[in-house]
Amino acid sequence: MNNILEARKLNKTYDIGKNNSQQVLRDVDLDISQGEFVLVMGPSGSGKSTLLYNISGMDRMTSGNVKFCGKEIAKMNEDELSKLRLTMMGFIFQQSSLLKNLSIFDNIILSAFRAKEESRQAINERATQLMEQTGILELRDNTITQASGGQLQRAAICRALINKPQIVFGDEPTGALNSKSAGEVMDILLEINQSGTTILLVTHDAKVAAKTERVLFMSDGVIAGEKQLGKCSKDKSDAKDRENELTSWLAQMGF
Amino acid sequence: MLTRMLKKDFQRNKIIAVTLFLFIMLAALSISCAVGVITEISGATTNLFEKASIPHFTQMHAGEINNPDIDSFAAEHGDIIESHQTAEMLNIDGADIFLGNNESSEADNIQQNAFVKQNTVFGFFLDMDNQVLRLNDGEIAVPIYHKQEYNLQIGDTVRIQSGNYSKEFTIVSYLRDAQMNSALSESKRFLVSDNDFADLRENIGEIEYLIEFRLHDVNNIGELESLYLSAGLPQKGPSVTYPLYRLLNSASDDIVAAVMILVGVLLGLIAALCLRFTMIAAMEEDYREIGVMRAIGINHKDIGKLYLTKYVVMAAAASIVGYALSFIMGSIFTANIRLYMGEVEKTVFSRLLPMAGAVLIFLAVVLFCRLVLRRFRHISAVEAIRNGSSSDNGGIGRQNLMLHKSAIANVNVFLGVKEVIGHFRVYGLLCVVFMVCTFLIILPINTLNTIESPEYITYMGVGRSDMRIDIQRGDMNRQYNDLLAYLQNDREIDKYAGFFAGSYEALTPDGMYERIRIESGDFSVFPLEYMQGSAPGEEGEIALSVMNADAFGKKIGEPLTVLVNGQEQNLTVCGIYQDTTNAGKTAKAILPHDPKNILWYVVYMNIKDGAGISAKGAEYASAFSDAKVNEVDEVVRQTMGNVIGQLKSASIFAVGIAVGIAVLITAMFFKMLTAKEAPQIAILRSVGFSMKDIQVQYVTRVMIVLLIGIVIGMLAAGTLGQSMAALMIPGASSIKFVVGPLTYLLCPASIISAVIITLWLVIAPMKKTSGFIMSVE
Repeated sequence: MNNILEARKLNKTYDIGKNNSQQVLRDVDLDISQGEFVLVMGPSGSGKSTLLYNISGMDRMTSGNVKFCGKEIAKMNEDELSKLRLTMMGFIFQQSSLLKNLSIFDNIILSAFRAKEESRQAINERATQLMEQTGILELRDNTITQASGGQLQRAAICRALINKPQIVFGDEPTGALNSKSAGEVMDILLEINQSGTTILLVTHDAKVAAKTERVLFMSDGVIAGEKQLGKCSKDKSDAKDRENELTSWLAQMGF
Repeated sequence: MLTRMLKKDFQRNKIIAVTLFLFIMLAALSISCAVGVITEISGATTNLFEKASIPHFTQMHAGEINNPDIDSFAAEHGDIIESHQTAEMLNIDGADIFLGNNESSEADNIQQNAFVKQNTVFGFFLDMDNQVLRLNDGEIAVPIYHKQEYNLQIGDTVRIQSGNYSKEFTIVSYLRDAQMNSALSESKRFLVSDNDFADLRENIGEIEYLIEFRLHDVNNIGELESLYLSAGLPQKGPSVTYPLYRLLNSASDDIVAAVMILVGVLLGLIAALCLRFTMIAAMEEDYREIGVMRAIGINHKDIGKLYLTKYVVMAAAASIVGYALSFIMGSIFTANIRLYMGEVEKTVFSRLLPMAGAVLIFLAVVLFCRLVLRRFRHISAVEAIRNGSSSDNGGIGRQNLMLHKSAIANVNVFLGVKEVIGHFRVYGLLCVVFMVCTFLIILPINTLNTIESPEYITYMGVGRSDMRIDIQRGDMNRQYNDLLAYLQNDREIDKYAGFFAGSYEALTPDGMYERIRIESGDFSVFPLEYMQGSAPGEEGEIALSVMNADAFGKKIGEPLTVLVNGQEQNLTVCGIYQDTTNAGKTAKAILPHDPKNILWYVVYMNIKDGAGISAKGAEYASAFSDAKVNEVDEVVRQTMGNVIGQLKSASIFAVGIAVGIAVLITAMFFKMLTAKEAPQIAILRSVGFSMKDIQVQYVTRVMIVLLIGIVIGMLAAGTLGQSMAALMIPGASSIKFVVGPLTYLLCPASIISAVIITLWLVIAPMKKTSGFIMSVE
């Protein structure tokens, strides 16, 4: 299978005050194939989110090389990176991160209207379809104060998918949700993945992680281990087995 | 503790703190300076008038005089008259006077040049130290107006040459003439020794008498004026009273003070609006902390004090600096006063009054802060801790403007428009500031344009014409008839109209007769724009200047009783017009020509296209050597010269201040806004909006408020501004602006470019990628 994303010797160091720096990523190598559902786990401060932001071009790496769809993102300027995020990437954050002065529907279509790759009518239809798929169609004209956290996170997923991205990045997308909502959001993401979109998530939650096929474990800025869980089915007993398998592996990794 | 808190706060919001400080300081500076100018004018005028022992009532008279009549009048009314004198003033034609190294004479100068000797009783001519001048033969003291206008130096010469007669003087001093210092006064006096005066009198010029009185009590001027008139004493010329002397001396500096007070008040208002925005923004930023403080039982008043202390310290420091700077800046604005009226010794009072101005600004700021801080009462501890922000959910109109229904094609423009509509109360502040800035720039420029325009002559009580010829001396009747005959045969003259002015008496509302100068002639040839009614078209009608209409308490259609040839005549007031000449007190009617009662003749004319006005002027000047020939544009320029100069300075000052305000406010406003909106910006960037996109959104926002502010500002300057300009120009009660061709293009362009550049500088540093993820989280 083709790699959609390749990272080689990726390093990230932050300056923290006078003559002090902290290295958060150390020579990280990572390949992600087209259509994969990859999950990054690890303790706080291990560099999970930093990895996600550096390989997605949201942050500039200190050294190394990242290729996304064959293009080196380190060589791209700000405008090219913005265009990349607009048309080929989708992002979901822990908080829904929607604009508070727009309705939920307008939040979803915003980046598609900016990209102008389809007609406005086609975008509206697609947004309606995504809202229906994620079960929030009745919130169409609501403001973001008129929806629950889980509903807003679904809206954020719709927004991430509106431009039909090659890859969706998620930084703890279920972190602020209760277990029921978290499960529903993960089911939606699995569905999206099954339709061919690559997904890379960062999470602490083993239950969430057990639904993915590949889990990376990060510690002290390096990828310390990797676990292949295979494709997830809808069978409940299978889910329990996957969770147990993952938990014991994580325990071995010292998590 | 307080110092540490203030220091930290300053470091956190440098631009905001500096901007607020500057506004409060500038407001205090302007008000202090204005109060300083007013105090200085008042002090300097009083000082000059005391040293010069200025007359309380002066009647000018061009004609024969009988001194014993005046003496007996003074003796008869010794209860109100303290002393009197009849001074002689020798009017010498400008064509016979050569100043300094000038090869050409003063023929083109509209000022009437007169030569005088030092008075002995009162009405003294002073030197630059306000000491009574004593000159030797061959020496001369020139008016300050001439010193400034011609850059005359001590040691330069003044030559009088007429035919075979020639006399040269050496300038030994400049002359402070308390009665005729002002550029608004049409005559200027040169002082020479008694012997030289006698010599000049014998050989050249026309004598005009100044019958002057000093009273025991200044308040009796009105009574003396009526007594004088009814006594039938000489009155072929204007009369000037003590209050008018004061007005003439301070008019141009009063304008400066008025403009500065206006600027100070505006700056104070802007500072208050900025403070409100800053304080609300600071409260929003600290919302959760405020909630925690409320939750642990700290009273909202105590929390308010934490914020108030900061602004009280800032306002106090800014007011002190503003007051201190007013000592330096004040001397620039009072330079004109010091030059024309002399230095006044600083008293405690003159120091304290400007300080009161600064204190007023300080108190206003503190009071305003207290009002804003009342908001603390409404903060709920629970809501603040839970939400961490006030329940702003996008502002009003959020439901009305939907992206998917919008016709605006550009998403960034849409977001900019939606933000402004949603938070118009916040953007309203910017809008008001831009409106004020536009107003501040356009008002003085329009006033200047109007005064400099040829149409301004209509505010001087006459219709627009190319040239005017004044006949004020010699055999006036003969000259006038000769001139009319000459004009009749001149094919290069398009049209002309002659007028004669006579002195009459008219009945005041309190039943007394007061002298009134009435100009008669055909007023239809050079029509004047009347504020109300129209020009007198037949006998029995009279038009009054605004000030005369006020003085006689008359409205259109009401009768005014005038004594014509000793007979009472009821003239109907048919029109009221503006006149800034002759202290604003003039009248127009169609009265019978009485050669014995002629103060002057004046003829206005238009020259046919193709014939040069200057050449025509020269032709008439040589043909009628005793008459005064002037191009009308030149008359306006010279009469209003000082006011034009002051207005030019005020315009430059206003443009500087306005652009400065716009820049500072834009910087402060958007610095706070971008800090507050960092999470929203980060969200947009994460979904693929570039920095250019974000910048377009901010530029859209600022352009909307800018355009609204500029349009309202221009409308206000054209309406309210016109009324304000009329207040500033004595004698003009309603002014119609003459707008320069580029005013409405360049003024907005200067603000727009300043604001856009500033906005760019504020939002440019946001370019860095790293950091915006933090804000999303």
